[in-house]
Amino acid sequence: MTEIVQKIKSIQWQHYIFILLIAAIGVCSNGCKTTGKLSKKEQKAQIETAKKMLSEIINGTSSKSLETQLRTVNDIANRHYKDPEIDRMVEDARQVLKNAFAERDKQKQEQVDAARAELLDMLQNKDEKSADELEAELSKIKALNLGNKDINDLIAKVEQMIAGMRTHKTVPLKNQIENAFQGIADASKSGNSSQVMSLTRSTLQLFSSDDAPVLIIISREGPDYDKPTNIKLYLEFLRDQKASRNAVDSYMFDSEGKIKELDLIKK
Amino acid sequence: MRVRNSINGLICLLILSSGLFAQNKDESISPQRKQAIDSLALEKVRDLSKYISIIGNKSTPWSESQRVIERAVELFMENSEIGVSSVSKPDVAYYKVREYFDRLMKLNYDRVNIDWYKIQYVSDLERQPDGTYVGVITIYQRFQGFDKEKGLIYEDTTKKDITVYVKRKETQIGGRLIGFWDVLLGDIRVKETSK
Repeated sequence: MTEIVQKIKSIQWQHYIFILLIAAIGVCSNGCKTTGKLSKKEQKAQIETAKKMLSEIINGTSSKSLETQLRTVNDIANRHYKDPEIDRMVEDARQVLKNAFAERDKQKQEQVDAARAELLDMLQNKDEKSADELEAELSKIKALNLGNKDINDLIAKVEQMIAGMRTHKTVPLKNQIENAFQGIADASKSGNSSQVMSLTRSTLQLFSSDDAPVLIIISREGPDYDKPTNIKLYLEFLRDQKASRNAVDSYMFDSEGKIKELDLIKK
Repeated sequence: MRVRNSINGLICLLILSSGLFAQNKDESISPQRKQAIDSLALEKVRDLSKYISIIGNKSTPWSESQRVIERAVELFMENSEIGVSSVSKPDVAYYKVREYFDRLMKLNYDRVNIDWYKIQYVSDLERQPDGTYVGVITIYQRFQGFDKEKGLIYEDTTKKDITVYVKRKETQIGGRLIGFWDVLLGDIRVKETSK
């Protein structure tokens, strides 16, 4: 006992500080341990929470976005709970989300297709709607925010058309085509070949290609057609015959708003 | 014997009536459709007259004439011939369609006028057993040839008959099955030539 006391008394104050430092480090490391082993109670609670979240995702009752749900599933998977039920639920949740993403893409494509059809109808404007009516329809499509290049291009074309209507500069396409046909015939009759070529060039630009089919109805009963031709040959025919004997009956657009097929009817 | 004759008569009647029924079933085209086909064939003959004017016109550029010759040739059935006559010669020469147009383009005049008029049916389009409609359209052609210095040096009027064939065909256009009437011209035969 006396020896122990003598030993304690022999320790210098620097040694006391050193010992205190070591002790402090030991206490802190024990107290700051959060990534180390959880207690069983804590782990059980986390597993239950994870199961609840996965269950909501599997049942489709989660209110979060699909992207957030997917992140949740991946976070749970990365924690490696080594719980067979969790592992199974993670797989199920991933499958559910895969289907949900596919369904969302399908719905979006349907929206894009519907918007495209509506925009092409608006360009045709067969019902002769006013600029305001077209503008209202266009706003609904714009509000969908589809983020599709083709759709955005068509929207721009419709906006241009509406702007033209408001300034009274746009002529309905049917009239444009018929005026062009008559113009080519008249120019050819008067021997103005440069006017013929200019009108031919500008008319061809309305079409998807020089080969765009042109069908001429000779009788609605049937219906009966003349031998099919294409727009390039038809314009040459107008030039040769120096007369425009057919009116525009209908046309079909391609995805870029160009005419891909034209039906004419005997005047 | 009498019974056998009656049975034979009945069989003959049945065969005849089935034939008639078949014929009636095929002739299902309405008068309006028939009129549309008649007009179409007449229109093709008028189209040809315009092509002939362009090809014969000395001021038509060579490339244009070639393009128009192709369009004109497409109006004809293969191996069709076109008759050519002259007031100074009794014989009528027949040329294959393409050869006729090549000769027309190279006529030795400074200027040529060719006009077709009184274009009409002499024999209406009638349905043949194979479904083809055949008819004859007559035209009058006034031909004038000019020399640069002498003016009008040749003129004649010719009456010609054109056999016309019209057949219904089908084709696919953009996913649609289209029924169209294919009009093809046959031989153009000279009937009369006068000054």
